[in-house]
Amino acid sequence: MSTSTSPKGSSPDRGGKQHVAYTDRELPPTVFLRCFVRSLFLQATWNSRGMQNVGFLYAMWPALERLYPDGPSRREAFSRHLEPFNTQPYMAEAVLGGTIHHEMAIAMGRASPARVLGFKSALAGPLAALGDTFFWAGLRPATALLGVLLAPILGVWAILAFLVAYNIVHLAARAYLFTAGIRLGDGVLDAVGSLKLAERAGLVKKTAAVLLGIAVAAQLAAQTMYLGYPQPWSPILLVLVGALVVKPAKLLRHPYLLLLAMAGLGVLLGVVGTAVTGMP
Amino acid sequence: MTLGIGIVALVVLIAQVERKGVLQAMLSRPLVLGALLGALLGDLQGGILIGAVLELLWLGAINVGENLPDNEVIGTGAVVGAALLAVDEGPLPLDVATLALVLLAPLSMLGKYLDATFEKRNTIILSRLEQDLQSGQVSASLNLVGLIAPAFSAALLSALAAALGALLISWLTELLPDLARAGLALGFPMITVGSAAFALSSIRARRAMPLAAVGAAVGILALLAGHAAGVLG
Repeated sequence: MSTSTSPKGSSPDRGGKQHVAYTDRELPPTVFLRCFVRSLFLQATWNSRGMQNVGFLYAMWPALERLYPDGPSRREAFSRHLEPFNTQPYMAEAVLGGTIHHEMAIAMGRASPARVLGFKSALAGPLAALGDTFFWAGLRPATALLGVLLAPILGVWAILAFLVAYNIVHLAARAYLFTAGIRLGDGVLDAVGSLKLAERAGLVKKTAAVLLGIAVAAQLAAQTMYLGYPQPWSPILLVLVGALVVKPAKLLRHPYLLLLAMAGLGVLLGVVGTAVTGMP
Repeated sequence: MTLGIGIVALVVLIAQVERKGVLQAMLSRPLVLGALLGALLGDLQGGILIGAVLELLWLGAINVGENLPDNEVIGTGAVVGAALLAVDEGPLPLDVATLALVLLAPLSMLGKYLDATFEKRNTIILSRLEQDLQSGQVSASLNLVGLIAPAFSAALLSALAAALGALLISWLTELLPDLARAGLALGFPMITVGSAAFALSSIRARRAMPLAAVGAAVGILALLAGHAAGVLG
């Protein structure tokens, strides 16, 4: 992505480095890489007034420093990115890449600052909805349940399976959206569309529901074997008990009362069962 | 015990940073954290056992916009830490795990309150950044300052809860008769069932309930097949 620079004029900054009033088409890859790494800290200072704005400026910093000489134009650029902003953190890569694309045009006098503000505010909401639906409500539960299901069989390797399955998708999406944003600017929406996140979210969530059923059976089998209860009838019975608790669970906002109730029921059944059967 | 508490504090500190502030690669999820704490505190299997149940319990805990979920990092650190620190040696007894879950999982709600407090306090960092911008002496590294207080608060709260929880659980298990402890042990799979029911309510998929029933049926068939083949007990 790098091309050579054609200096128009320069002004030294406090550190002695020369900052060029920007005339070239693109920033060097090292600047993009620094912005990408910094984007991983997007929510470090999430705040109730500007939300992700501090993190967004932090991520944009290497690009803005390079594009604008020290002075009013740089301060103005920094201020632009302290406007309130919030979206799903992985999908934010599309906005970040696109913002860099727009800032390059602004620095070369080819676009107005209002353009980049409009770009950010137009994308934030829709990308948040997409990202929340696919990643938070779909991929994360599905891969976590895969880990829960495999844990009784594979132990710690199940944890690794969860992390690998999740992060292959997560990191690939981040990298793809960031580079697409830099290349395409407003066209990043096509790149987002090509991922088909909305369609895939439905399938991933259904997969999560099936995996939940299998995972519960696997966990209960492991726990009842650990306790020395008769197999396979004790985990099967417990799964059936679970079916009875599903409706009451839906009514609760917090699970802790349900936890207490289930523990209490367990104590009652355990005490009665032990007293009757003589089994520990 | 002191070393164990230190381990809980350090692990929770790092996990709290990863949870929302950096990367968010699910390294702070209960399943992962439970395994890590288990490995460091000398009972990997016990840590995974509890971590799996907590993963079900907090499956639907997601941060959407300003809506904060219960803080599962603080909760996991406290529950797993207390359970493993309460046991001197040998595999984790499930009555201990049940007590840890019932007594300490609700601490995650306090964690949520702390998260909300820090997010309001972070506006101070934003105001400082805006002032520095006006004066021309700005440093975007102020972004990293927002990681510090939540991480240390989570570590302190979780470690303290794990320590006090371990003492309380040790005392209770000595006090309780064997019959009650046997009942508490059954409480652990019952809690798993309840957590799974709660997890199902958080999966917003069409026909989630029948699909979960299909999954459970597959699981049951696998158990029956395993039993018939002599693979399961």
